[in-house]
Amino acid sequence: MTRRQRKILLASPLLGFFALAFILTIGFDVGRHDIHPSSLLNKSFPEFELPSLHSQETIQLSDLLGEPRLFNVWASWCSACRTEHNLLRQIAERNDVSIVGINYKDRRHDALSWLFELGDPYSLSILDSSGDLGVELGVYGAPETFLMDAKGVIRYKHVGPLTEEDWTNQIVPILTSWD
Amino acid sequence: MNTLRRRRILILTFLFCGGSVTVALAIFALQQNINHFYLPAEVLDGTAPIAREIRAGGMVVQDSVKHYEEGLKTTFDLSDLEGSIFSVEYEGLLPTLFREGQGAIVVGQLLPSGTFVAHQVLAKHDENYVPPELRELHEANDP
Amino acid sequence: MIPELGHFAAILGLASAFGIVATGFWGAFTSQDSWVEMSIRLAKLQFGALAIAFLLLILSFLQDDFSVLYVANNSNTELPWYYKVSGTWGAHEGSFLLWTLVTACWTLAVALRSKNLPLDLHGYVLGTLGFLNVAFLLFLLASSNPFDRLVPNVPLQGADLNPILQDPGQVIHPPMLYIGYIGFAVAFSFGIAALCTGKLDSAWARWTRPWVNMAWGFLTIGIALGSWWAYYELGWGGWWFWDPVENASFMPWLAGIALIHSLAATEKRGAFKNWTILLALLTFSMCLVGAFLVRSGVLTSVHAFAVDPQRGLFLLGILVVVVGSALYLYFVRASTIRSRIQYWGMSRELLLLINNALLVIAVITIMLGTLYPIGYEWFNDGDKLSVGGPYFNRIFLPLMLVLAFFLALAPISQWKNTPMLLVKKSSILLAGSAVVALVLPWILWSSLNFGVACAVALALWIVATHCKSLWRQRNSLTLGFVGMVVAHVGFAIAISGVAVTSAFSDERDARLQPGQSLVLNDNTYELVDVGQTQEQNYIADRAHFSVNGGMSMYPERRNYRLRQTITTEAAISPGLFRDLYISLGEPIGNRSWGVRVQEKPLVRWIWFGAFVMAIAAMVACLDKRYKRLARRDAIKAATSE
Repeated sequence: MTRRQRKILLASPLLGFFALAFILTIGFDVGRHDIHPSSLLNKSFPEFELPSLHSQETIQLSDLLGEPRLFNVWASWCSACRTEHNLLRQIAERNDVSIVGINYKDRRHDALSWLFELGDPYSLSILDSSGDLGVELGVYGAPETFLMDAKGVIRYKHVGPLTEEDWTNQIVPILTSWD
Repeated sequence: MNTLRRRRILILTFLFCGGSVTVALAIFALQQNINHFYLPAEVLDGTAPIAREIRAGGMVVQDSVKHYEEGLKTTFDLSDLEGSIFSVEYEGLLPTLFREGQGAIVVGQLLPSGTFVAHQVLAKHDENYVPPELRELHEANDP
Repeated sequence: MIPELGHFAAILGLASAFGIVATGFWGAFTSQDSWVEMSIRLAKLQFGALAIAFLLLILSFLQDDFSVLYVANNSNTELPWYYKVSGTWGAHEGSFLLWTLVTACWTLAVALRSKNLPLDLHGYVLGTLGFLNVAFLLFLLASSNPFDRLVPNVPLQGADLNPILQDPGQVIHPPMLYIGYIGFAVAFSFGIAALCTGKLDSAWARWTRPWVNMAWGFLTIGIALGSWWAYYELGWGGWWFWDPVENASFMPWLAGIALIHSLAATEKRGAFKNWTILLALLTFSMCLVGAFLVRSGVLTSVHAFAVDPQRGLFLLGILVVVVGSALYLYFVRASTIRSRIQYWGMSRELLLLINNALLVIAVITIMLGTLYPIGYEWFNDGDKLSVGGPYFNRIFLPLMLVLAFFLALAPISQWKNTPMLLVKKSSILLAGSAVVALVLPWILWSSLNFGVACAVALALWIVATHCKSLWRQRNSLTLGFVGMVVAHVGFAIAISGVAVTSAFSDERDARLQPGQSLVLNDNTYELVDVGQTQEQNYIADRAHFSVNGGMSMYPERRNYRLRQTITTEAAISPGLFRDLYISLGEPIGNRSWGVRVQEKPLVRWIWFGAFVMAIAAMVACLDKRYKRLARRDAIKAATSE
């Protein structure tokens, strides 16, 4: 074997690896999409058809379109939900925006007595006892809050209890921009 | 020394030829065992070949899953959420993660009648994971 | 506070990894003992820091600290404590922390167990291992930090661990796999060190061999556990899917076998030196490619983690830097290392060459099938395709049969030249095995199958020749030899299992109402009734089957409340010769259920064979030769300097 042939032979693994790296790079490029589910921001609110907390009627997404809605995911077992409850009641009393409650993985009886005790800020309450809608929304846990515009697109998402600052600094500006 | 050399060349040649033949066979077998993937629109417009093993996928249409009175035969529709829908016939158990409104991939053959006869149904593995084939559908679905 | 401490410990690990690189390489380069001593101390520090980081992450899981994003995404207050612990490595970030811990663990092992190594070799090996962990830790801290906080809005409940991971098999499968993968990093580092020092002799091979055997043993156990887990947990009786990620673990496994064998030739005969080094580099490179495939989302796979592109790019960068520079070093330095095989007759060298050739071809064909879809999609503008399992079976199984044929000759072969008489004698055993292999399946499963007959005949032949030579050498047994014999017998067990299960498994799907039954082969399966049960974190439909009026089996269909995920929990009646396997499908209409019943002969032999191989590989490391000769080699290396 000549020196030259030997050199080529020894270089072949390196060249082979570059070919492989090339394939991986293009594969990476082709499959390159962000599939992180966590953010539904600027995407449609998922379709649903679920019973109302207060009656036997069912509520669909289409019933709620036409005006901005603040969706609040809550449950009676969730103690942090209590901390944001006062704020929600104030918002409801001022009539700033219509708040829709999503009662998440809860029992109807517990949820109703909780609302009876603390007051009901929700213009509508959806009973999501199986948590299906929560899964669709990518909910980590209660409480979480979503702001949906009149066309049904989610414009703001908040994980954890809502505070005064979040309300005045984040949500109010969005709402006023729509008016 | 001479016989040794000849033997060495012989063995190396043999190994090399054997290797090349195997790899060639592998490439041939590869050609026969690849399954192309088609979206619902392609199933409808004739892009997808008839009576050949293919894969197709889409979202399972709500309320379209029907079981026959007897046996394990099931039919359901797959849609691209843009109006193209084709129906699938499948005999056997559906995967546990198969659900209406979720993505599914079917493996089987397309009949001239337009029905897809599947021998395998795959559903996505968990809610965080969308098969890359169906990613475009998900994205198209988002405004 | 705990997550911050963990984060800090991980940074400390990174700092010590940098230290190992600097001190190791500098000590080796300037031949200064004190620097290498320093890198040994830093290896201890690195291991300590990362072990603490990992323990703190476990602690966050146990405390249900949902302020940590990773915990919130992968745990839940309702999870039993042991799955909280295993949830630590249930998803990308935590499992990568484990990966760096395992790297630190191997580094520590090399630092402590290699007192007899020449100074420069030791320094280069530690430096290379340190360099790898620097890359891994940078990746972890920059793009996959498991300690990231979800403040100030702490959820009160987590999203739960993926239910299919809530299983004992899944608890130990990833750690085993990682120990195996990164074990090959030790071989990789020894390869780099040999290229740097230019010294590659029998002593080098003796130092490297035990590490390769250990790594390969762990990888074998990891893969076998994964297969076993898929078999009972995915609920449909499959044990190997040729899924891209399985392939990604399978390729280094095959390359590892090739490495073990070419190292034997390098140690005993000084042969294949260049090739051995290349294999040592490539085996670990394949592990890295595998890690990239799993964590980058390039391929469709059930194993894929949810990913973001930044991570994939980072990993690709690590891959290119590590493997590219290693192969460049090989290109530059390998020509200084020369070896020549002088015996081209019927010798053990030749058999090992054939072994390596076959395994490399197997790896190439698997790689072809795994990567083909990517290339195709690119060249055909997004047209997607997948490669079916039949492709892999059709190419891979015949290759393994050819390998088995030559493997049977292993114990009778001798270095330099094997008398033809021995070969002729063993062919009598082959004839005997062939007759048994034709008759046996026919009696047991009353059917004939060419592939099964070949596989069983070869398996019997392997057992016969190996047992014979074991008996011959009964007075001068070494653990190395025993390990070889046992590993090869394990291989025979595994291929019989694979062949028989693939050919003679039987299955039937049916729709049953309570009271109805289904017949498969000689067995009657009656669905007695279906009830509901409730456990801590799921509710389940639980069917009661009565097999042949006697044995009861209870397949379940579980609904995990938090993720709303449904899983099938198959009922398996295990047997040495045959598994009965019932899965419960979905309810169909009027009180009836979809049911799948399977009978899988010899399926357990696959995992048993793999386990035997793994144990044998580890036992072979204990051969006294390594210890005895290591001292001699050390003295020799010291005096030659």
